[in-house]
Amino acid sequence: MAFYVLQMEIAVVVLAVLGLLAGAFWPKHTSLIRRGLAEGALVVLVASLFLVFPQHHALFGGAYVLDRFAIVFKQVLLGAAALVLLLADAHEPLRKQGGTEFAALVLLATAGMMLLTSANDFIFLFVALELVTITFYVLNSFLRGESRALEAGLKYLVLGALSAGFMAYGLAYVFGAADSLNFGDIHHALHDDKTAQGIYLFGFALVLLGLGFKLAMVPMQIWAPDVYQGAPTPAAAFLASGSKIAGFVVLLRLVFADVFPPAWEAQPVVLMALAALTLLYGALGGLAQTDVKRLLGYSSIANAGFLLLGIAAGGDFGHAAVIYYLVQYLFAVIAVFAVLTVVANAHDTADRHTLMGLHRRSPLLALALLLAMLSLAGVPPLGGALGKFFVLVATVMRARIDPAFYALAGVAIVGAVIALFYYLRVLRGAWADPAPDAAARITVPWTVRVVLYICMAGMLFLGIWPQPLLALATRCLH
Amino acid sequence: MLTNGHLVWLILFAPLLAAAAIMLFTRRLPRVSAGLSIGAVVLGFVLSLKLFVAVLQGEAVVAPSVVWLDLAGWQLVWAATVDRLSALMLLVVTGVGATIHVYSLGYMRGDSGFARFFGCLALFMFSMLGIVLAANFIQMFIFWELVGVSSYLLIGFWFERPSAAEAGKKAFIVNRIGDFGFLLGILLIGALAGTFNFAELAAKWPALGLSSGVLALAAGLIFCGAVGKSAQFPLHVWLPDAMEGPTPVSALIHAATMVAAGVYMLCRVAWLLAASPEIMNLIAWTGGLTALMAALIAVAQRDIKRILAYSTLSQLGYMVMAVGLGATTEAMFHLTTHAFFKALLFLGAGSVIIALHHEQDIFKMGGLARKMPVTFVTFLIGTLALGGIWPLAGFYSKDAILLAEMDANRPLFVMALITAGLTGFYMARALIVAFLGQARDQKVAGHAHESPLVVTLPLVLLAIMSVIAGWHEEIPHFLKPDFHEHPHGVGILLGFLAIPLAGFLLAWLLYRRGPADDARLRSLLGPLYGLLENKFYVDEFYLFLVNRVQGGLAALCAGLDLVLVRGLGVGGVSGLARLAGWCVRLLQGGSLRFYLLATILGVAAFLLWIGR
Repeated sequence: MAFYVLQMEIAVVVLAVLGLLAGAFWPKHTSLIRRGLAEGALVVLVASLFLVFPQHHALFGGAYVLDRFAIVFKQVLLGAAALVLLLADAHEPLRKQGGTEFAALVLLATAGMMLLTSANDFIFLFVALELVTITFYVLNSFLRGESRALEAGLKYLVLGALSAGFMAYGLAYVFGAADSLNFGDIHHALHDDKTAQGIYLFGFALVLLGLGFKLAMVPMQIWAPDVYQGAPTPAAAFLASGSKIAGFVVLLRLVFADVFPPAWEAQPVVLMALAALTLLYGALGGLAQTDVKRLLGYSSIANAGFLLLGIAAGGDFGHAAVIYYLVQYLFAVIAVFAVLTVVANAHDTADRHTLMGLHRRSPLLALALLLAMLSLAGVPPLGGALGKFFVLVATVMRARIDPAFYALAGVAIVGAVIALFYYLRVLRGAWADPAPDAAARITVPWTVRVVLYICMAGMLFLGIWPQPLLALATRCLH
Repeated sequence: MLTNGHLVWLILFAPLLAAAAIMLFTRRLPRVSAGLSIGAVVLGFVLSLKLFVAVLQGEAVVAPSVVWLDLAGWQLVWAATVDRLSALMLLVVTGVGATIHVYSLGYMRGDSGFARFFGCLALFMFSMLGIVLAANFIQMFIFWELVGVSSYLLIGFWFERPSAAEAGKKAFIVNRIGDFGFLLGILLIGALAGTFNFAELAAKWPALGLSSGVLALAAGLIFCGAVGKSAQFPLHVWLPDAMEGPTPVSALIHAATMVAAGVYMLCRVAWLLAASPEIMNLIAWTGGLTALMAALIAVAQRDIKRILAYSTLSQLGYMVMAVGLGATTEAMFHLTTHAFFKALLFLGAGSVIIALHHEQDIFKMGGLARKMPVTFVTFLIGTLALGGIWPLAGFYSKDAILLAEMDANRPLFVMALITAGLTGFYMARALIVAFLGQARDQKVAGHAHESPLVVTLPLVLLAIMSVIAGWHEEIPHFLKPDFHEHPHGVGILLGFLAIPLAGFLLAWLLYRRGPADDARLRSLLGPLYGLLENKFYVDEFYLFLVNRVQGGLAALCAGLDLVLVRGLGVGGVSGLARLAGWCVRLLQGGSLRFYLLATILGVAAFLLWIGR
């Protein structure tokens, strides 16, 4: 078997193991090792850009495929992991705890996500997904001394186990209906067997719900605000960026592989309803929030709604829009969490007071927060504006065939307007409110600086010149 | 290998890099900041010269372009237009810009915001060059708004002065009104023609077979943009207030370049305007009216910068009038010469203002000619050029417009002639009162002395350009190789010369004795003087509109709003949103058991729904 196809994943796992070993042998140099792991992830990323991959390679009897789509997202996820590792090194509570386990676990989760991008078989998908989820159980409760972190970890564990149960249960039905778990075979197996299609629909719905846990999709969204708030900030950053991207990559793969139930393809009313509910839940829930990390939990739900909208709208442009959205969202959300990594208080929460007068205490952080919040809110010339715009264009294009999509576009706009309100409220705290008397100037560690510069450059570039990424996204589809 | 095409982008992006470097890194280093900004614009000037020569020699310069956005069939390309029109405009913008940058070194010396000033100036240069080079409407609109932003930043540069902050806001808001129409026009044209690209549109637009109403609507909406940016009646009110900005800003942005962008844009889309004779007529009359009205107002102003501001309005009116009569070459000719002599006049006024420690009332000056000889001589040259005296630049360009009008539209021609006479009068008035006679206010004008070389050198350079820019009518011939003036006799030219001279003479008679105030003109004009002094009460009228009419309507709407909208509509909606928000929040109470229950219920509901 040609294992060189798996070289990126293997490199990441080796890096994680080396990190663990190095941490055990040289416990005095953990900070150095942690940064080394971040740089290692970047090295793998850069190296992967120069590698020539075999086109459409398959492994494990077709359970694993390597195509351009998978490669691009493996690179994106590696990039996200490197940024999160840099943040983790600057995060005070995690530094105090010491050790290299957090960084190693982030890399293991990354390996799981990278496997997910190539999953072409339900069992493979399930195993890779669990690799990610189980790692996150640990990451979320990594700060053992903080009751909030423990609570977050526990909630994630229980609800995650529930959703994994749904998925496993659904897989049994899928297998029963299609007699195979490989995406390629399922499409043919269901061809014109009405009974099987009915059973498959039920099974697929459960799988979708299980996946919905990763996406923070209604009705599997309820964990997001609590876990985002309680988890260590870098873990939450990875949850919002890497984990969400991996989930949507899988969803896109399901669409590309034609394993969606035939009934949903013609009339995507189920996806439409889920998109609308997710959007509105995220937008409305954020209105009354004062804690920024918790707010980002709702924001993550609202953004999942937008992404689902793009998938429901479909078509080449809709899928390209989703890919574009995912990449720009990565920059914005990591920028916000990078700011929070520095300003969050000793208990690692970020209520309104932590951000007050930020522009006086650290202009760089305030600027990064400004750009990131405006990007999330969809204000040009930042990536978020074009992400939303492209999804809406795809929706309106679809609405020409299926007028119900006009209503969905309306819902999306209303959701975006409501969300604008809470994003701007965060900015008011950071820019307009005076700093508390005791607040001193904040010194930003260089690791966070690097992350912020990268994220700001990314947001601005994607907002000013969208075509390169849009063209790449379109190429990924074929 | 760098071709001329690559240089185009270097000209555009050098100021942006300078602006970014200043804002990010060198805000604490005034000298470095000024050096960066000046370096960028001087580089731009040198490259523009090279480009100008290339275009003159007939080389087809094509700047590399990139696809900016490809939206399922709709393609926006980021490209540059390099033709005779933009090559000339590049030269004007970077040339005048370079002299004014150098001048600012002296004018802004010791200001606490020195570095910020040069950063904003570089941002402005980037935006302005972007307008000049724009190859499609979207690109132009983006830079159009960017010049608006940088103009706002620079008018309100001394933001601690409430009047400056107010003026910045006023300029921005008034421009928004015009820009709204402009944007609507752009979207309309894009929807009708399926492209925003100027070259494609120029070929496609006349062939679309649109009704005259639609053609007029499109042209009229686009003209709205020019009315705002070039400060034409009725949106002219922001420009005089914009004089609150530092004088180099007034010279560069609010006299030589940005306000001329409206005229430039109209020349760029001449094909669009030509398709609608009604709108052409409207444009000509708007220009003529603005020219005459502004010249009248300038007669009764006392603030030296305001006199120049109204003069700018008036000359912009001339250009717009020429565009409206189809004489775009003449309009661009006048735009170019005007950029030189009006920048010169503003910089001269600035030199006086520094010497007098920021006194701007001409009736407190007097006798400055002996104390500031260089400033005086250059200001005199500027005045003669603006007045249209042979053989200075203004004579050629103004006469070109007058000749084009003579047969095309007699009433406008007469208005333009009256304006020319008034121009001679108010400029001579300012010159005589400020520079000749005795110092009226010893405290202010008694101890004035000549400005340093960094200030006077730009004056001399601009004065030379103001003298020679019109000779042989090189500029119109460059724009349009087969350019011919309308046939005319020497007698007509002498007549054109006599009119501003009459204005000069009248001013000499009224002010040669160095009166302490403007009493003679006041008694001569009677109630008209008050009308002019108060700028025809346009500002007051707008204030009335905003306060009473809009305010009254708003009060009515507010009443309705309270009952109908807020009570039932918005109140309902926002209340609903808040209520829903609270419901969600209650749902998210934090109890894990409840979360499990909610999730399972949600899943059950979902499964029941899809299984129905």
